[in-house]
Amino acid sequence: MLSELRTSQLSPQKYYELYMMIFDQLADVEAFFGDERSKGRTYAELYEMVQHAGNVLPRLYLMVAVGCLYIKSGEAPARDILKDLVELCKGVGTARDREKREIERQQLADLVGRNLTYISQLDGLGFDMYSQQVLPRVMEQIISCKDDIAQQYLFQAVVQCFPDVFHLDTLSSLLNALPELQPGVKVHTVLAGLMDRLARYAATDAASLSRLTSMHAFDRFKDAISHILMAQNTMPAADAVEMYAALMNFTGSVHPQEVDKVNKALLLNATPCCHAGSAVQVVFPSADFSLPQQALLLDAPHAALHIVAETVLFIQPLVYDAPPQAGAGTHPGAMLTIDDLDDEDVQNEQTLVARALHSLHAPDPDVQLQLLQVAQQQLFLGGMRRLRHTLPALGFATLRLVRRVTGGEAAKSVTAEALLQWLLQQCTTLAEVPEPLMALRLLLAGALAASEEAQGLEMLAYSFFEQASANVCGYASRLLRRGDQCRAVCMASRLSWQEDAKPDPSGSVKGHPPVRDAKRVMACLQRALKIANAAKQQAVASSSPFKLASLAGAAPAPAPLLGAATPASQQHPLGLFVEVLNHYLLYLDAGLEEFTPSAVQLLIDKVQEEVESDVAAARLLQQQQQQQQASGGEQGAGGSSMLGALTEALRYWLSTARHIEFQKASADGKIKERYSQLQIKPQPDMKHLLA
Amino acid sequence: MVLVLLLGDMHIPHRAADLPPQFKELLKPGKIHSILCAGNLCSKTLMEYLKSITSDVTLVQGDFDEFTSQELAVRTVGDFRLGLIHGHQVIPWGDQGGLSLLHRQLGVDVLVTAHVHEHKIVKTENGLQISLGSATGAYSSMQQSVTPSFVLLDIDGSKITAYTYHLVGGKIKIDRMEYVKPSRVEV
Repeated sequence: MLSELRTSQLSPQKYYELYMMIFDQLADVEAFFGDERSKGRTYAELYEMVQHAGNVLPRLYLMVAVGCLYIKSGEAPARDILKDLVELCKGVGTARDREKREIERQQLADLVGRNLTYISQLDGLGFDMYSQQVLPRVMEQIISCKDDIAQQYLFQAVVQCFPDVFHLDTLSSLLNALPELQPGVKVHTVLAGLMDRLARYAATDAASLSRLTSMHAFDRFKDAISHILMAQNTMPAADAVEMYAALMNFTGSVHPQEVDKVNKALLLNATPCCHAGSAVQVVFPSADFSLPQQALLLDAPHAALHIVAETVLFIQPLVYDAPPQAGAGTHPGAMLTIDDLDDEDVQNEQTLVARALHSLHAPDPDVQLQLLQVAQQQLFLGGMRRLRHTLPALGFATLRLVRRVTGGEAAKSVTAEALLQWLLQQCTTLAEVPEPLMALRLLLAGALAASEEAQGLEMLAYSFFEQASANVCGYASRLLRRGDQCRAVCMASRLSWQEDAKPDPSGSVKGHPPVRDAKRVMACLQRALKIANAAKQQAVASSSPFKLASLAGAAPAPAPLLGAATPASQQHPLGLFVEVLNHYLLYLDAGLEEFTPSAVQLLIDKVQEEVESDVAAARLLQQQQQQQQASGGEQGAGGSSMLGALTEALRYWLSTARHIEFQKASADGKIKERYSQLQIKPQPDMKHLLA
Repeated sequence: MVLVLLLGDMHIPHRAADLPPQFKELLKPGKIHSILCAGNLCSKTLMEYLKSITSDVTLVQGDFDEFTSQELAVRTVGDFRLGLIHGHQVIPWGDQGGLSLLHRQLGVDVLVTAHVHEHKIVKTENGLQISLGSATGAYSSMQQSVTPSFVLLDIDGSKITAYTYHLVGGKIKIDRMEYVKPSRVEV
């Protein structure tokens, strides 16, 4: 609670309330110190100890508490202790005095501000009187008062009190006064307020919009900002950026069609003096006004290149650490390097940089490649910790360009092959970062592009796969659980039976003939069945010998047969059998000769056998649980979780059975014929399990 | 009547900078009850935004997500069980047979997947299968060009009205379809 007092945000009244609460609590603290004393510590020790409190204010209060006891005990001269405390109070006192003075000045400013409002409401106040008499005198007063709080408040009051239409015609007087204000005035807030107000006015009044355009409001604001920056060269970068952000919003609402204006504003922003947080605010000022996107959609390709360099310069503190230089440190943010940031901060910042990459767009593919190369050079300066977040975006930007080139956009020098080679290098770097999983995914995307989109790049596609498999080896060694193995093998079976490639719009079919290896498919699924059987044996073996049910207590709740990532139905061996059956049905549909209706029927029979024994076992388990509950015993959590998994597995089986019936009525004669040979026996009663 | 927003495959920052502003304009807080997000956000950039639309956000893992979420989720809204999974788990990607298998496996009325970046809603024997497009129109290995889209489900008891919002040439195009859950007796 003591540290709550270390703030300047509390009003005097609240501060006083908090102080009183602390004062009450201090009595308890005093009693505590008294206890410590009775345990054998001396006041001298305690008085010494509390002086180690890091912050002045808490230290003062603790010293007061101990000091009182110390004096009362007569163990130390009161004069010495009091001298200590008075010295300490000096350290705290000055800050309070200044705050008090500021509050008084604020109250005074309010009073004057209210008078300004009265003036603005006077009936006889026309524009002539305002512009010739009121405004010049008010401005003179504001500037001559030389008090920063008053200046800021009064200037804002003028902007807010008088009508918009007056400001339009007195814009020059207002803007010219700004650089003359005291350095302590938050000019950026004042100017931003003025721009926001005029932007809102323009949005509601079409005439004012054209007035603003004809009076070159944008250029005048822009010049005003330059003048202010020149007059106040100590302004914090964040404040400067805030002015530009306001200018950006002003441009967005007043001249939304004029990309050039936005562009000018962006170039203005390229002052390499920025604070990370606010930089981003300008790069993405608001959702519906994505600045670089508009600015970079310029037709002139080389202008765009120039802007990339400028943009990167602008967000430079995010992209890489500035080299240390003599006299650095004019801006507080400039000293931070990546070593000062934790991983989450780095990720947040680099996500923004990565997003900005997607805004790079040139109509000409050759220029687009140059843009990306400029970006890459800059990104590589940032080091591995940044690259892990930005490289994937560069990779996909490269893939998009590959598609533009293979899609037939005319390009002078850039080729799909060169781009994919470049991507391969990016992937290698990404694997070294190390970000192997992302590298693997990007390699696969690259391989797909090399083999499917580009022509005659089989060797390159092979390089991608070669590198990808080098990455995969690290992961394959991880052990799979039985259920995961079963599903993985089922899925792998599908790699051995490809469907006919879809013809492209011209009706021709590109690429290689589909892979068709029915024997391999069957081998995979046989293996899956073996694994399902093994999973079942495991469940039986791990169950208690007193319970006949294969399910009861098969696994304790926190470690079911499969991870929580898998569907609940797959956490029960029955679900695995049904999964394999469903794959059998897929191949029955596809007409593989190994998957005859009688082969499928064998598996259906097997599944139905499992269903019957599982349902019977579950009934037994439920009865046991009811008996246990009746006799006050606790219910085994493992049993319940397996029952839940069984319920899901049974649902899976029922929808599979419905699917089989559905296919018997298929419009496709071949499917209908094959499925009509399949028989499903009557189901056991399982309503109690599904409820 | 409950409004459920379905979207996925934003791929920020790997493949896209942000959601289209036209979409953000539509997705304002206070109208939508739940969000089912099919994954591949890929950074947490949009999480705060989604949470500002409604606090009820269900998220599943995409193959490019840089954080961990649940692999799949099943939610009940009205009379419907909605199953949500990203879809890279279906091999071959986007395969109709594989999706139907998954649909039966999860035992849901509506199966929501993404990953292929191609919007498609089909009525099947199992119910409704919704394949979401990419909400940002992100690059896809499987599609030559991707139109940004998302789906809004209006669920009223046993009736679903699905509105699909596509962004075509900067303009929003809305498709609408209705689905009524058939009454079915289990067992």
